[in-house]
Amino acid sequence: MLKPSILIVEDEIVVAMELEEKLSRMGYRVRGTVASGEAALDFVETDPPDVVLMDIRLEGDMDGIQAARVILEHHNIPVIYLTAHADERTLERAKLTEPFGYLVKPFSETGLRTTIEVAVYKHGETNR
Amino acid sequence: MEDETRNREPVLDQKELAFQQSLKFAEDLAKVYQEEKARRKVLEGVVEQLKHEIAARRHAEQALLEIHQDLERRVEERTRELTEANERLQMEIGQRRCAEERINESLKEKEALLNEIHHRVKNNLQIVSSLLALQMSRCEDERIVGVLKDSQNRVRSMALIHEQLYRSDDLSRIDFSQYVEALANELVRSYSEAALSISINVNVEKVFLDVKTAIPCSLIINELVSNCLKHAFPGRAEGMIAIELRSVPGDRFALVVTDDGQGLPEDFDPRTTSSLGVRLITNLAQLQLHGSIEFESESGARVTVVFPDSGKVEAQTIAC
Repeated sequence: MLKPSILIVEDEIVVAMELEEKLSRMGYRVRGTVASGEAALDFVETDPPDVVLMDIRLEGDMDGIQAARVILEHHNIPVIYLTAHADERTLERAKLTEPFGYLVKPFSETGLRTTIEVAVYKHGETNR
Repeated sequence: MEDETRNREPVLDQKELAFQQSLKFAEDLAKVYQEEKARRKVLEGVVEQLKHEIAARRHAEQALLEIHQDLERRVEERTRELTEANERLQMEIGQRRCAEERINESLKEKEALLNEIHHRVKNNLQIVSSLLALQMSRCEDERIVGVLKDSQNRVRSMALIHEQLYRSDDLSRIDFSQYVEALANELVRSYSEAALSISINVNVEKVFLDVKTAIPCSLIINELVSNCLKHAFPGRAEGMIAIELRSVPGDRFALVVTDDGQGLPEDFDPRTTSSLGVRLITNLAQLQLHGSIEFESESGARVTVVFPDSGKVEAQTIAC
């Protein structure tokens, strides 16, 4: 079975590069990397991935939580948040967007694989 | 004749009597007059005395009135001064309140800035860690991969400190028990091998360490736990590592890292070893934490670092 394709939304490009390499090594197809919420919305409009990995703190006016809400509501694409150990208030806000998972930095391969597979599975079940 | 005389005598007597009476009356009158005169004099004296007293009282009343007026004037003056002082104080209170608000705002801004700085430092260290990971993935030499991985973990252990700092309310100290837990988990994940199951036992008192102590302490734990993970359990399916940090008498902390692995090499001597990890541990413990270090090897390895609580030392210095 083809591994899901992924969009990485992360404003620290070196961190995104490391993540991209890790995902590629694990067999995932990384569709692209963008650094802002606005760029993420443009990207999913033209080339929708199977899963979006979204950093919460982003450059630009739109943070990851705002972008995730639009992506989920308008494009029905599962979003997984990438966080450092976020503060309670941020997590409360993030929870409201009903994300398909959280990944806490730094990412282990096991954590990445499990979270992505569970998100894809849950999304498939929701859409049945 | 005798009869005449006898008859005259009473007449004479009567005249004499009348005279005597008149004289007596006159004398009485004179006496009364004298007495009246004396009484009048006394009365005049009393009147004079009363006049004096009245004058004195009037004078006293006048003085009292003047004192009263003076007092009223002084009260008014004092009231005016107090009112002015009160107004000045009110103004000063207002100014101080404004200044306090400005200081609080400025403090909040600085805290936000400090928080942002810790966040940026953490992000930058994360970037360094990612750069090392990217370099590692292009490297085929296992030895160099190992070196890069060690470096990445050292950087990560420092990044974690800054991450805990910007999450803490204090911004200058961190809850070290939480930190050690997070660091240990990251290290196990980093050095994990499919064939080895490691249980980490973290027993750290709820102590708050400032950055100056937390960074060397974290690097020491990083080196000790990494060494355990890399060298303590060759060919074993499972292993146990314990990290303990507790207060000891004399305002000091004892950090003890033990494992149930194969123990230290027989010829191990921390003073002569070329291992960067051991040199880092020894130098950080002795030179930066101003503490002592002891390596033991019985059923596994045991390393004990005892160092002063810098917070207490600083407080004592200020008190002196």
